[in-house]
Amino acid sequence: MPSPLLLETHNLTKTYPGIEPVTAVDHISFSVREGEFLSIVGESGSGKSTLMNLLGLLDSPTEGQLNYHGQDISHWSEGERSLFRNQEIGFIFQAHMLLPEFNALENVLMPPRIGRSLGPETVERAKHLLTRIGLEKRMHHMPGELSGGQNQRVAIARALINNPRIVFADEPTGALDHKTSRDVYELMREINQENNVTFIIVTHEQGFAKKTDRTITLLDGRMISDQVTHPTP
Amino acid sequence: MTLAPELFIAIRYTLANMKQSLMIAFAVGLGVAIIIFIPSVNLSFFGYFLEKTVENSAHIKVTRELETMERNIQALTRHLTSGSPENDDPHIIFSDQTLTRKRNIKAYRQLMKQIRGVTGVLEVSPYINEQIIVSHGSQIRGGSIQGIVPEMEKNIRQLEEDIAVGNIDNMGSSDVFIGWRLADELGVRLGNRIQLVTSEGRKSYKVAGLINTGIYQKDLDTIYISLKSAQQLLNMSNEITGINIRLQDIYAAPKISDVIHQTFHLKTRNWMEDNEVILDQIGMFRVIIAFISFLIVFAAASSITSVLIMVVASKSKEIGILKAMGLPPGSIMRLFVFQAICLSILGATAGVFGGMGLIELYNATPYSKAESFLGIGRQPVEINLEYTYYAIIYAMLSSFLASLFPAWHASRLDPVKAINS
Repeated sequence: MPSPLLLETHNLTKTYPGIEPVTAVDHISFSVREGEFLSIVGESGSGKSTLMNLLGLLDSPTEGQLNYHGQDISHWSEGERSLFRNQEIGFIFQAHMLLPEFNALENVLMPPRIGRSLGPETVERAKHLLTRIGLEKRMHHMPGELSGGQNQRVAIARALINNPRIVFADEPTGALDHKTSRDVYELMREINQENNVTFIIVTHEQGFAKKTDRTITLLDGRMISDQVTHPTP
Repeated sequence: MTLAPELFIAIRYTLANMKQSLMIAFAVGLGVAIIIFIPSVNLSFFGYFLEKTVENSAHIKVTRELETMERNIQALTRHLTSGSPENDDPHIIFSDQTLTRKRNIKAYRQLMKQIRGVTGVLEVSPYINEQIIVSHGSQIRGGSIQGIVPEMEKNIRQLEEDIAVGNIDNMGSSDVFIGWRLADELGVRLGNRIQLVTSEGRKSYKVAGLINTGIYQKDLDTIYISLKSAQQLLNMSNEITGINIRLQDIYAAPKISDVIHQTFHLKTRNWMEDNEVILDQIGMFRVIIAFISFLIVFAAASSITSVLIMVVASKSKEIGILKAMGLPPGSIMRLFVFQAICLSILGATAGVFGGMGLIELYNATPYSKAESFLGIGRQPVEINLEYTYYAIIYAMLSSFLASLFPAWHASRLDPVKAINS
């Protein structure tokens, strides 16, 4: 029995106004099931990051519909979007994007703090996550005191702390060396398989994309292929 | 208890950028310190001056009301047109002596008893105040005698504080206490005799004490004499020129003055009327201080606006991340408002201590002889709590207002653009 539908897009479009309007995402329709490990690939400027921002409710579509568990969420208010991002979504960016004034543990605890669900249990969970990614001795280090790979792992732990249904990763290994990239990939894969968390990964690395279960390819804002390489059980 | 995320982040931002925070806190603190220091010094001066004035004089003086000039003119006109050589109209004033008589209060003991019964009146004391001539040898000066009952007058004002030499309680019927400047001008010493000259005659008195009020004119012309001696000197048996009154609440003076005037048809003059100029000056000074304070804190608040604009610009990426993690725009706005308030608390705290330090420094600075001589500035300056509260509230309010635009701007940042900035 296939996993339930998580996300659906219907003709999702984003056009930036101007003298010559630019359509970054052009009538894209696809669906994502729970637990998928999916990559979005394409050349620079193909619209993959814009698509991720639309799916992650960081941006609003100019046209089309975005459904979450069958509910249209494309016209939600800013408050509803914020709550949704906090409770249901985790973000991993190319540069780790940790807050430099806070140590690793505090960075990981920021989403539950924002969601006002910070408590002894979440602190324990954050410590457990940091231990799991091999940073048990670096919890109280500031981002400036950690390596790029360590920071990216902290960012992964931060994305997972609120038990999100979906994690969006925008070029998560783009700034890392080969070995660290592999470690980060393996970590995301483990979490995907163990916790059934859906990963939507934007990447321009074909090698990375090949390791995902499904690859959506964009060109000039249009979806040109949707290829399943390893079917999600 | 867990801090609200906005407050937690704001405190961390403030502490993490300590150098920047301290610079802003310094600007705010300087404003607060000045707002505390200047009014404290000046209002202490005014307050001390006023206290000295109020404590050293009656809260209300009651005298007999003179007939109005208009009434006198009407009476005079009637008199002239009737051609009567006799002065049968008691309202006509023919001479200075008549004028004096008109001003005297008779049967004053009964009147004092009645005034003492007015609500709010604490003590009453009779007095005679007349201008006379004082002579000693070849020296002649003008003077103002104050016939008093020392034990009653002491209930009205701090009489002993005016006495530099001698014991006023032992003032005999042929003793006088005179201003030290008057004694200096006349060249008299303690124990010498002086002549007091009036239209009723002259009489010799022994200088039993010296007065030093710290007020130039008073020290130059005041002569204390017992009420009974004054009555004899001025031929005013069982008459006085006025009654001094002490009140429970000095600020009730205008109201009680009105009551006494309406009830007893006597002329009253209260301490607030006597010190109208200084009270006006204090009021004006408060306005000026408020304006200067506004400018100082406005300048400090402007620095908060500038710095927060820079902070928002430099932290736009982090604002984007916080938004991506679900921090709503309202919370982003509160974050920067809280940061401004944190800075204003730091600044206000530094300012309060700075202001207190300035006051301590001021108090530690020795007063000049001239200041001490005039009786001004002998009291140490105390921190003015009213202005301290104002300064703190004003600094925080200004910082709050100063943060609104940058905070609003931060809350409006597009997270996608902010993250990619």
